Amino acid sequence: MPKKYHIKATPAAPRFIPVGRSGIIDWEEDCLKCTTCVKKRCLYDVYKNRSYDSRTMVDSIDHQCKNCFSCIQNCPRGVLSKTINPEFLKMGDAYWKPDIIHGTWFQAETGKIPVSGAGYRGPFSGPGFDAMWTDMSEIVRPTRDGIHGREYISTGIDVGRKQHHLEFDGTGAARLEMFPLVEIPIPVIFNVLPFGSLGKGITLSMAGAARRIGTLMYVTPETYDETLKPFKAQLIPLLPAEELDLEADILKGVKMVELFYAPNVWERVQQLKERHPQLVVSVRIPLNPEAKAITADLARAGAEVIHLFADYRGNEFVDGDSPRFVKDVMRDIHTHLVDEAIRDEVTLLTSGGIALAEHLPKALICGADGAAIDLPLLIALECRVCKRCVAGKSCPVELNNLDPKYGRQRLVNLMCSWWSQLIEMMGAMGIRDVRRVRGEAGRAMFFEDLERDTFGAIFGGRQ
Amino acid sequence: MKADIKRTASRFRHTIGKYKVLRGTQCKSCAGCVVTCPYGVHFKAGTRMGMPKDYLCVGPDVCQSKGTLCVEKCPNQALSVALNPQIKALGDFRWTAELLMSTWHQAETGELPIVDMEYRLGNSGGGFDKMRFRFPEKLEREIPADEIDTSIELNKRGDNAHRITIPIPVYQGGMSFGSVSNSTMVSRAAAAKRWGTFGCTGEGGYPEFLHPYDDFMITQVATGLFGVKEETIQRVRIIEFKYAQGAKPGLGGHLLGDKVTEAVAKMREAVKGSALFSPFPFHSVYSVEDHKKHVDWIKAMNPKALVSVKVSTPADVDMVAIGSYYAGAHIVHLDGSYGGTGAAPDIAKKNIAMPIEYAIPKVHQFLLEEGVRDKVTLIASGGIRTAHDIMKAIALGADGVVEGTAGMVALECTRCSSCESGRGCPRGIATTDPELAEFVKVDWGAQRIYNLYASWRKQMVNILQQFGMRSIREMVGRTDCLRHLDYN
Amino acid sequence: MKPQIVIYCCANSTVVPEEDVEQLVPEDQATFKISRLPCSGRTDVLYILRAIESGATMAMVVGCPEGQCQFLEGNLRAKMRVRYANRLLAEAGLGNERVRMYNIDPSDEQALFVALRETVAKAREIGPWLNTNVS
Repeated sequence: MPKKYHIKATPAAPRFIPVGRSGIIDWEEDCLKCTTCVKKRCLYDVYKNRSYDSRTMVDSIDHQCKNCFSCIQNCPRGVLSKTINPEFLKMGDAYWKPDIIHGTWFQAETGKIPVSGAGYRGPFSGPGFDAMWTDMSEIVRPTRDGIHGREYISTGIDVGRKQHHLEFDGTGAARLEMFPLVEIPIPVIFNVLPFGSLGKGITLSMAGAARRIGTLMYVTPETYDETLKPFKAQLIPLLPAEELDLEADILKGVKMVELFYAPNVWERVQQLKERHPQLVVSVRIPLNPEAKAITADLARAGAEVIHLFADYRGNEFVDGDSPRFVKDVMRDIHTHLVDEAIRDEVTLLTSGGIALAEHLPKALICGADGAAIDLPLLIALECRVCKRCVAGKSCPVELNNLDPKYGRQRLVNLMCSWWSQLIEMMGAMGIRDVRRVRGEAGRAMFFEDLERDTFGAIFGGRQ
Repeated sequence: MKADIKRTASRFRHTIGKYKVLRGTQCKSCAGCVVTCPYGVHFKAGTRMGMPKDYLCVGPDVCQSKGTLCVEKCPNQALSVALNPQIKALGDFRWTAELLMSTWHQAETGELPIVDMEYRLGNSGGGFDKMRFRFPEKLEREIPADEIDTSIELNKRGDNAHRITIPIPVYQGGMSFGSVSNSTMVSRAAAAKRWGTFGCTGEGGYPEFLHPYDDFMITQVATGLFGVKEETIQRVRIIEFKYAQGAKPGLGGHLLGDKVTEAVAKMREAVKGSALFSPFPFHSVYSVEDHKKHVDWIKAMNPKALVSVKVSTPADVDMVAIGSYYAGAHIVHLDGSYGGTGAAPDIAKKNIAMPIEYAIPKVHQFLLEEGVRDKVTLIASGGIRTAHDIMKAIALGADGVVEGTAGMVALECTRCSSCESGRGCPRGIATTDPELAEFVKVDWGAQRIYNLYASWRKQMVNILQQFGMRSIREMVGRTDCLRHLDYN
Repeated sequence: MKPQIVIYCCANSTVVPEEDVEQLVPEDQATFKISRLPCSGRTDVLYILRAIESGATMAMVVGCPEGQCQFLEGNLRAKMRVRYANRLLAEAGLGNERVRMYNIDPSDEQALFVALRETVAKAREIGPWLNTNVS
């Protein structure tokens, strides 16, 4: 029996005091110095453990405070008060919200599934991945007790082209020349970062984590150097189609390679396959209105892997105000390939806007075989998405000085948490193999459909 | 009916209010503000002035227009009033700061707040928060409030089981022994009994201290089967099968290690300190036939008991509902995805299964088409926060609702979401830590929840009056009484 | 030698983002670090002392105009604390001019610029307290 896949998480405390959500106000001038001071009675000892980092100007109390209001409500003089920390609200942007950043920090620190009391706190629905819910099986279709039970849930995928049917040669023998496949134990690959590539520390952390968990990592020729040689088996060189050097050192020892789409890309792919038949070759195509036709053509021609990417907020690359979101474009392309009877042969990867653990099964439901992630990895290393690096300024959390061993553990923890959450959602859906999640739109409920079928029936036309 | 409301203030020195009133050192304790303020914000404590009860303050604009602004009238300019910045840190999209504060107010007084606070809607941007009532322009008849009936029948099957009518269309959701403090459990049960409605033991067993409330308790048979014995099944009039829970559909109950105290371990026949994750699903129920066996088993032990089946809201919730009915259930209880919990993975709370607003009309319609709607009591829960949510749920097709979080808020929960870890709730509600549990006293807790239900009932009667309806049962499925802001 | 200036800024008194602050004063004149607070009254005397201890030449505390504080008295307390901090620094031999309080109305764009210029000029005048050449 094959050994059960497992990711080992080890707590990895942040190097800097995290930017907290709270802004505690303390007017100690009026303090009465009561013997049973409410600060001493804080259940979480946030006052006792209070410290201030003058380097980053962050007060530990803001992050540790649990928002119970007990001290504020009990202090006889009303000396304590609080509100939201403006530095917290400043973090990230409209897509990469402060709560996403906080959640990622928690998972990178502990490797645990975020669990909390009280019901969901967020909005009813929202744009992007928030406009879909996954289904669960009730009495009639039993669930899979994955995490805490005895059932095994497989999260591994095979990246490459699948044989659609057996072929036989003249002698009647089966042609079993299977296409090369790369097996990864979780449907996640590490992508190139959209910004924040601040040096070796980050790259080596990512490579080390990729190796630990058994997955792959994209690397461009600019980033590749001697220090990454030990990680060759994890690397996917990401190359421009134009000046392709078939003898490049970067191609030696790797299992997969990806080319940026260009009109002549298929020619290049064939050249690569001829020179290096054991390599899985992938084509990276930006999501836009033309991507569907290009993908279908390449799939028909024999492409092994196609990586469809959106911008880092999940939008397709198109001018104007209404770019489609990655999940909707992927559904469109996936369905088209199904209709053309070529979906099963080719592996589709997607990336752009994958921010939370739940986006992974949702992206798969929308038609991807696997997803490449970028910013969550950077955030796991304590990035606040302040984008100072984009403007050429110094990084407040000194990511340029990152210790790769430490960074690796943070990323492994994040992946452990994401993987556990993937299993939770698959278990609730009643699915035991992640390959079955691909395209399973029947296990999801989409906002537009629910609104139309339920409220449309009651309230009429939508405005 | 006359409700027995008693003013029950906060246990804390300061209640969080919408406005902040500050008294500076210029104050000469002349107590003029005590006379000026019609709302009781200012008071004298001995020779000095007490700290202003600013949660009673209605804000400077109202008082300015009425000429009762203490800030203006103070001879020493010692007073200042502003919006309380604390409320920015309070609440969330579903339970906003104003919804929390207005619920605290209703729990204290049994009345709606005088302060301009939102008490009907949250800020979730969808579902109930996007629905409004479509009141008729003219009423045919004016029905006096005391003639309006808010009761509902729980057994519509017409079989030999108990005939139970509850005076308000609300009963309580299960909160297990171990997830909340004993005094919280008793407070809830006592409030339910006083109203003649029902509390629920949750899945953690039936503790002895709830025995005085047997006739007003529902006991739960959940997947962990904690504390399920013939003796407990026979104590009660209603038994609830918990197949799933809205906050974490597809997953079993979570009680983390720190909260499994000695007493909890004894009740659940488990090990102290060891986390308890209930399995999912019932490993003896894999089909509707198995479910019928389950129901028959209960009926064999307690033939007159009503059977409630609590399920969450998958895409095929209507099939689940009809199957439950045919297996013998009296009550089909839908628990929507945004419901509360003592502990659940954040990913499950947000993403799995559908919000209750979609499930109610789906099931209501389906049961109508199958011709059995009038034989089933359809109960909805999962994010029911206010009397307006209750009425909207009924208008969408439910007979009544179950509340959970709202009762907690009545006990001064701030929705900080820290229920699950360590010693549990710092405010003494969702904790079994003996020191913390002291903060909730049963007399206080029971009265707070009682008051809240009284305020809810008044609002429900008011809405029914505006529709010219004599009974809440007339509202069931009346989607024509609603409009949705996103639709024409 | 470039002085470093640490700014504790109430988020309600000015919404000038960091990039603009750095543009208001030429880069070769001073370096800035800004911390946005929910109220100037959040500024702890300890924050200021720690900042100076870590090498800052001066600390600026920016709050709302008196009478406009969201917390009603925050800016008054900030003023008191700034005075107290200066007293402590003076006792330590660092002079009593290293910490300044400014009340700025959010609608007044010029006010922040003026405040920054004044502070930079002062910082260059009194110089860092560390005797070694640290820039």
